[in-house]
Amino acid sequence: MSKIAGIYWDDTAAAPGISLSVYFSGCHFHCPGCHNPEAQDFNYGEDFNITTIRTIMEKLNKNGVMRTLSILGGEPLCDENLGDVMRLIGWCKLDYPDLKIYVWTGYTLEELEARDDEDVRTILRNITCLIDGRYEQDKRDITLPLRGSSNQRVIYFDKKEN
Amino acid sequence: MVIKALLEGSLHGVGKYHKTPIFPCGIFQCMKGVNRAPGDPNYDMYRLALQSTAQRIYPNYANVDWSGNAGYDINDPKTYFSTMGCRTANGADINAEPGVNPQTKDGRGNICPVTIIMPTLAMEAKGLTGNITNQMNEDISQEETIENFMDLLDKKIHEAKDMLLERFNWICSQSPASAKFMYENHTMMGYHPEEGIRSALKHGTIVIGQLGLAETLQILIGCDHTTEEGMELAKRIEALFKKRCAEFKQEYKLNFGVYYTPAENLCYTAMKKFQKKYGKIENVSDHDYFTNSIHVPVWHEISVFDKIDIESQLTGYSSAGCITYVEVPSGVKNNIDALEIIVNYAMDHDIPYFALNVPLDSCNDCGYQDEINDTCPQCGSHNISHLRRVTGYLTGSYKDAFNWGKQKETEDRVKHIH
Repeated sequence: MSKIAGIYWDDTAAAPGISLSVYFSGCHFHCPGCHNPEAQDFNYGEDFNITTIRTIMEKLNKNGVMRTLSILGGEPLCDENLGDVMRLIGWCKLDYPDLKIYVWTGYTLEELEARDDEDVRTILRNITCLIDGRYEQDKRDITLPLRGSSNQRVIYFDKKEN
Repeated sequence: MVIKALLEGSLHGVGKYHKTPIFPCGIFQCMKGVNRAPGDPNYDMYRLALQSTAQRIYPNYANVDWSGNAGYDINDPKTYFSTMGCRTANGADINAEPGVNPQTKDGRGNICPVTIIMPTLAMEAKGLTGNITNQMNEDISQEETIENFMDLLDKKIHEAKDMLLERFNWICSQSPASAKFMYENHTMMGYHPEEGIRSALKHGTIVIGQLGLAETLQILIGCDHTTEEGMELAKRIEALFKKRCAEFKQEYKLNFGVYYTPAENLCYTAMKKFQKKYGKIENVSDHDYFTNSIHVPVWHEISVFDKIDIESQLTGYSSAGCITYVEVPSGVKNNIDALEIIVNYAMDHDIPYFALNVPLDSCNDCGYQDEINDTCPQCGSHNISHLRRVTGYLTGSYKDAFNWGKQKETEDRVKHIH
C-alpha cells in the first residue's frame, strides 16, 4: 500500500488552472537538489486507501469547480506506487470521463514504455500530460513552465487517439 | 487601446527596478459578452488584466453584471457598476434628474459615513456593560440576547441616520468656493449654482457602515457566519441595515446606503477600547483588531471558493460599497488560468467587487521581486520592502505605513489557495 506525502485540495502551483494535487511517497532516484526530499521515503506520510480515493473524487469538483488531477511525488510511477496510481486514475475517470490528469515522473517516457507493463500503458492512455525525466540540478531553470530542469519534457497526449 | 496601454504600463512597473506602482488603483470591469470568455471581443484585455493582478496586485475586478446594479443602461458606460477604488460605490440615485438614468455613477460619490461598532452592542445586549458587578450576567438566554441586540442595533442605525443628516446639512452649508473647480467644471453631477451645492451633493451617497460582524456573531451565538447558524443571523442583521437604509432613502429623499466599512484605523482603536472594557475573549478580542465588515476573519483557514460562497451571500445587502478579498500565493503569476477560474467564480457568484491579494516583496538593493521573508534570495540583502494591500489601496512597506492592529491583521492572514 502506498503512502501519501500530502494533498493540496486547491492548488495553483501544479497544472494550469486549479489542481487537486496528490503527492505519492517514495522514490528511488534521489536526485541532488530534490524539491521534496522528505517524500523520497516510502514510509513518509499517510496511508493511501479507498477512503483517500473517495475523498479525492468528492473534492475534485467541490463548489462546482472542475479541477485537474495532478499526481506528483516522490515517484508515482515506481513499481511500489504504480498500482495505487492506476486505481486512483481509474476511479476518478469513471466519475469524470473528461478529467484532465497531469503526472510528474522521474522516468523518461522511453523508460516507461520499455517496462512493457500493462499498468503503465493504462496510465499513459488515460492521462492528459506527462512531465518526465530526472531533475538535473545543473540544468535547473525556474523560468520553465511545469518543470524544474531543462532536460525534463512536457508531453501532451492527444486524447482523440485513445 | 487605452486599457491595453494602462495594463502594460502596470506590468512594466516604475523606475530602474520596475517596481510595482502603488497608485493609481486599477479597476477592471468584467462584463459578460464583452470580456469574460474566449471569443468575447475584449477577452484579451481580461487575460492581460489577470497577468497584471498576479504581478502587481492591481487591477481589482468590478462586476458589471452584478444583480445589485440592475437598471443600468447597456448603451451607457456611465451607468456600469464601478467603485471608487477602495470600495465605495453609488446605487440608484433617488434624486436623478429627468432623463438621467438613476444608476449613473459619474459625478457622484460617498459624501459621509458613520460606522457602527457592532461587537460592543452585542456585549451590551448580553447585559455586559463593562461594569464588573454586571460581568457575570448569565440570566439572559441566547434568544433574548439576540432580540436585545437587534433592538439596540436598530436604535444605533437610527442614531447613525440622525448624525448623517446633520453632517450632510452642515456640508451643504459650505460655499461653492470651498471646491470651486469641482463645482464649476461639471465634475459634480447636477450642480445648479442658484440652488447651492446641495443640488450636487444630493446625488451623492450617505452611508451607514459596520465593523466586526464575525466577532458580533461569536458574542451572540458562539460561532460566526462560516456556519449555517451564524449565516442565518448574519442575514437577519444585514437585512435590517438594508431595510432601514431603504426607508430613510424614501423618507429623506437622500441616497442612504449600506456600507461595508474599511475601518483601517477604527478596527484597531475600537478593539483597544473593547479590550480595556471586556478583556480578552476567545474569538472576539484575542486579536488586535476587529474583522472588516462582513469578511470572514483573516486567520480562518478556508478555501478561496468557500470564502466567496460565504461572502457572496452578504454582499448583496450593501449598495454603497463592499469588497471581497482572497489571498493567493505569488506563484499564480505562472498560472493565469487558475486566476481566471477564481475571478470567474467570484463574478458568477454575484460578488460586486473582487480583489486578489498577492504578496509582493522586493529587494531594495537589487530589485528582485517575489514573496521574500527576510533575506533576498538573489543578493542576500535584508533591505526588503513588503508591499501589501492592507485596506483598499497599496502603500509602501505595510510595516511602516499602518497602525499596529492592521500590521497584525496583515500578518495573521492565511492563504486561501496553495
